[in-house]
Amino acid sequence: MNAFWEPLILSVKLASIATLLLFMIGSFWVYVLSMYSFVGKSLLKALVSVPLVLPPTVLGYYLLISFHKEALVGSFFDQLFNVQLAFSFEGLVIASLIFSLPFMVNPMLSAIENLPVSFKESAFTLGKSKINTFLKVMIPNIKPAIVAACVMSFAHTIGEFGVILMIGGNIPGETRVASVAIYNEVEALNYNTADSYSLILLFFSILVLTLVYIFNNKKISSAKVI
Amino acid sequence: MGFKICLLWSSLFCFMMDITSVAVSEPACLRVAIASSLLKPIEDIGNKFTQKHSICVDFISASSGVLSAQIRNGAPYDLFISANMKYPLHLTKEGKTESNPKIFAFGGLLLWSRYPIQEKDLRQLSMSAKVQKIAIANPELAPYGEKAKNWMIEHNLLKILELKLVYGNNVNQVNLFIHSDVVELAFTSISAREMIKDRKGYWLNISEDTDTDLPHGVVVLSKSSNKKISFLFLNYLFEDEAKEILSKYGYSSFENLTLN
Repeated sequence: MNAFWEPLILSVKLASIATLLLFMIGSFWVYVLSMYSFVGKSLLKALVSVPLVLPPTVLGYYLLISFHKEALVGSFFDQLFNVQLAFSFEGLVIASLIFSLPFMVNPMLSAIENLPVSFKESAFTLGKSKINTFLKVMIPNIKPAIVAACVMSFAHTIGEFGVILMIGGNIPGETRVASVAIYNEVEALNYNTADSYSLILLFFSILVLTLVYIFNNKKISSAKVI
Repeated sequence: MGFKICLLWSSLFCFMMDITSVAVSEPACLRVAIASSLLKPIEDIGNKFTQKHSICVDFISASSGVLSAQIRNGAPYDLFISANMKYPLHLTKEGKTESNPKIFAFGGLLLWSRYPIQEKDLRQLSMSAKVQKIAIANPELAPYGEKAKNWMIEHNLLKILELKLVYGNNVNQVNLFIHSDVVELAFTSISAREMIKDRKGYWLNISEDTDTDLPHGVVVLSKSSNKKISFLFLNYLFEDEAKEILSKYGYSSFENLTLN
């Protein structure tokens, strides 16, 4: 029984950790991109979206090379945390941070950019600092976008297959997440197990998305009361 | 205000690190990297091993080439069971193994066909329009794929059949193609007959009796965290219970032989 649920628990664990970390990283990027203007801003925006168009195998390949103990990233983690990144859960988290980044940053960024400029400007004229404006004026006004961004990152990480297969090694209890487990069971001709995993993931995805949209509708209708 | 945010973020960060460390410190079962063709037979042997010694075994299956590349890159496996001796011997030369690899069984090439087939009609059937897709495992990564390709070269069929070939990542993906009936002809391992019991079709053994081209090797890896148990499992493969299971799947087992 435990062996059956392991991949699903692992998927949820990976997606939760990645989404939480991405929220911190993503908000920082959105802050920089929305409050400052500088040379190379468009390039930075483009870089955020690169994982969207990059084939997962390309990302997996470059990650595999950089995770090697002699490479920059790999040796950093090896010496500091005594962790080998390839074939480990930590490696999956790092990979997820990269390929789900656009799903966290883009919704938040476009929502902030669509806010009336007067919000920002009136806060500045009232003497509020950039960070204060960002946290107390901009962020509260894009709550539905933040929720959407978190859900998209979560769902995308649960569904990621190509990169995880390349750098994960399909190790039970460590890197055999649900998407890889399904592939594994299909190959081993265990169609029943593959069916179970697929149906669970399908219903979970529908449930999460439905709850999010219910939440969003409540928020919008309650905001209209003012 | 800024201080509170930093506090929140750093506590979330520490919480995350804590969660990830829990994922690492769980006790691990014996990890056996197993060539796809041998998955089911060795899984059965592994179950018997667990019953006898109360030690759990996890199997990671892929083509022998893929597994050997992973091991070369530091994959955390205890044992490597390959469908040939080439890959384990390479690893031994690179110092990744505890000892020399041992042959525990000999494999054989098996042909599956949707239509009735006999050795003498094989050439004609494979060239006919009835057969549109022929599945083999990737010759660059899977010993059975390499053997299938060599067989076609020997029989002067490769150039003719090349356009019909469909490549599976490993032999199990070829078995998947057979099971889903999307190919008319397939080159697979002898264990496939037992592994895909409910597939209609016709099987033809095209390997010679003493097929020394596919000696299956087993070796304990130097990265293993529990070498004593790894050797226990390795030696179990040579016991009578294991040999019984191997012959059920069509393998001929071999006495303790170390290849240098």
